Amino acid sequence: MNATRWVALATTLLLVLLTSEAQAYSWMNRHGYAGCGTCHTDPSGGSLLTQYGRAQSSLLLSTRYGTREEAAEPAPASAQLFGLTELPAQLLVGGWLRGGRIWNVVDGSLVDQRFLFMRADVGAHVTLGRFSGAATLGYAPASSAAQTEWAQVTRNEGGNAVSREHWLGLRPGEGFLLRVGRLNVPFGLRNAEHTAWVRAETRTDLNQHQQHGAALAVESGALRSEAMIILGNYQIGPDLYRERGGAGYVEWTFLPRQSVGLSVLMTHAGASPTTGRETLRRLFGAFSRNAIGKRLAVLAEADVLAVTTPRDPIRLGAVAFLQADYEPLRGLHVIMTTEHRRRADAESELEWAAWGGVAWFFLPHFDVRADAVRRWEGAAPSSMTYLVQLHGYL
Amino acid sequence: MRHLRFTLRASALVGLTALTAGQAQASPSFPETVANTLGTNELPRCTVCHSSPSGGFGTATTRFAEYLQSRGLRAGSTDSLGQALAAAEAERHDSDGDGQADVEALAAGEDPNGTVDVPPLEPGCQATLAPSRPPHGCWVALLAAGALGSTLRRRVTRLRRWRRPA
Repeated sequence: MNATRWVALATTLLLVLLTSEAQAYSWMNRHGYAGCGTCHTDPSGGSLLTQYGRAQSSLLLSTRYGTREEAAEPAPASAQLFGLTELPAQLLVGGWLRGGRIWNVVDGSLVDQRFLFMRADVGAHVTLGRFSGAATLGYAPASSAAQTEWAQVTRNEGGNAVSREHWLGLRPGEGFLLRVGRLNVPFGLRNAEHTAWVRAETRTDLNQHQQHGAALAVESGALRSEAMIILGNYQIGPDLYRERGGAGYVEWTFLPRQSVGLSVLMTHAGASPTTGRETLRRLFGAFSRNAIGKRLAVLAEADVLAVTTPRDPIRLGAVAFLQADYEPLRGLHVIMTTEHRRRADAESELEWAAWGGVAWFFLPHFDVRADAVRRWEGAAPSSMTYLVQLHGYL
Repeated sequence: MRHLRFTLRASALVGLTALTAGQAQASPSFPETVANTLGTNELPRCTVCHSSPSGGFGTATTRFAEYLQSRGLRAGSTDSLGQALAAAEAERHDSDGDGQADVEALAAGEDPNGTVDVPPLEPGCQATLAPSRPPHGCWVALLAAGALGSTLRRRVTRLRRWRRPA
C-alpha cells in the first residue's frame, strides 16, 4: 500500500473517531429526522414519499428563491402530480426519471462514454386502514442492463420492464409494519450511490438487489429496526441462484441527529453468480449517521464479508464507506466520499476509491448532480469516472 | 403558477435527457476477440470476467479478469486483450488452481475461474424453478398484485363517494 492510501485510510479513521454528533438516514437526519417512515412509505427509507415527505422535500431539500425560510410554505408543485389534480388521501402515486452521461478514463485514455438511462419508474402506494400495498414498474433499456437485470420482469434482448418493489403490508400496531413481497434488503446505510462498494459488494442497493420475502419493521423511540426473511429474488433464475436466509439492522439514535447501527445478513445460494459454486454469505456491519451543525452530515459504514464455498471453507473481505455532505446553501450539496474494499471472492489487495461531487436540488423534486470518481482496483489500472445526471421525481 | 411552469419545464428537460439516452458504447466485443484468439467457435460467457451477466465497465472482477489486467488488459482495447491472453498462454496461468491452464479451459468452453458448470443466470420472470416445471409464478404474482390494487382502488373510490357530502 502506498503512502497516499495510508493517508486516506488514516483520514477516514480520524474522521470517524472525531465525529461527535450522529444523525440518521442519509443526510436528511441533519434536519432532525432519525426515522424514515414519516417521509417514506418504506419504513427504512427510500421509495415513495408520503404527503408529509413531499412537503418536507419542498421545504428542506430544494433551493428556495426569494422566500424567507421561516415563513415558507411547501411549493404548490410539491403536491402529488404537481398539484394538478387532487387524489384520495389513501392513494400515493409517484414516478422517477433519471438520466445522465458518463465518461470512463483509464490510464489517461477515454475508454467508455455514453448516455445513461438510469431510471424511468412509476409507483403507487395504497393504504386502507391497517393494510397497505405498494408497487413500482419501470423501463430499463439494454444499455443499463448491468445495473437493472436483477429487477427485470421481462427478458428481452433490448429494453425490459423492471419492478424494483411490490409488497403488501399490515400495521399490527403503532410503530410496527409487516410486509411481504419484493423489498429493499434491510442492511446498512440506505444511500443513493448504488455503485458504492458497501452497496454493490453486499448486494443491498436500492437499484436492483431487492429480494422477495417478509419483513417486520419496528420503530420505537430512539430505536428503529427491520428484520427480513429472504426467500430469494424471483426475478432471476434458475432457482439455484436465489439467495435465501435473513437480514436485518437495528439503529439507535442516542442523541438528537446522532445515530449508530448494526447490520447482519446471512444467505445461502446453490450457485454464486460469479463462481457458480454453492455459497454461504455472512455479512456483519456497523454504520453511523452524524450531523455536525446544520450544514454537515457524515455517513459511515463498515462491513465484514465472510464467504464460504465447498472449495474455500471461509474467505474474508471488507468494505468501508465514509461520506461527508456539506450544504453551504439550501439545496446545494458538496459531497466527498472515500471507499475501501477487500473482496472476499478474489485474491485482491486493499482497494481504494475517492468521490467528489456536487448536487443541486434546484427545484422541488428535481436535482442535478455531477461526480468525479477515482478508483484504484487491484491489478487493474486506476480509473477515473465522470458522471452528470439529472433527476426528477413526481 | 410561475413555479408550476418552471417545474414543468424542468420535467421536460429531465424527460428529454432520459429519452435521448442512447445505447451503450461500451468496449469492443471482448468475447469475439477471445474466441478468435483461441480459435474456438463458442463465445465465452461475460461472467468469465464480469460479475454481471451483462458485463459492463467496472464489473470485471473475477480472478481471471484480475490476472489479465495484471498483464496489461485495458478496457476498450482488444489489442491489450490479445496480448494478455498471449501472456496467459505463455505462462500457462491457472486462475483456479485446478491444473488446467486458463486458455485451455477457455478453449474447452469452460470457465478458467473454476466456476461450476451450471446453467447461466437468467434475469426476468421467465425464469423457472426447475427445467421440468412450467414457467414460474412471477407473472401470476404480478397479476395478483394488480388485481389487488384494482380492488383497493375500487374500495377507495367507494369510500370517497361515501364520505362526500350529499
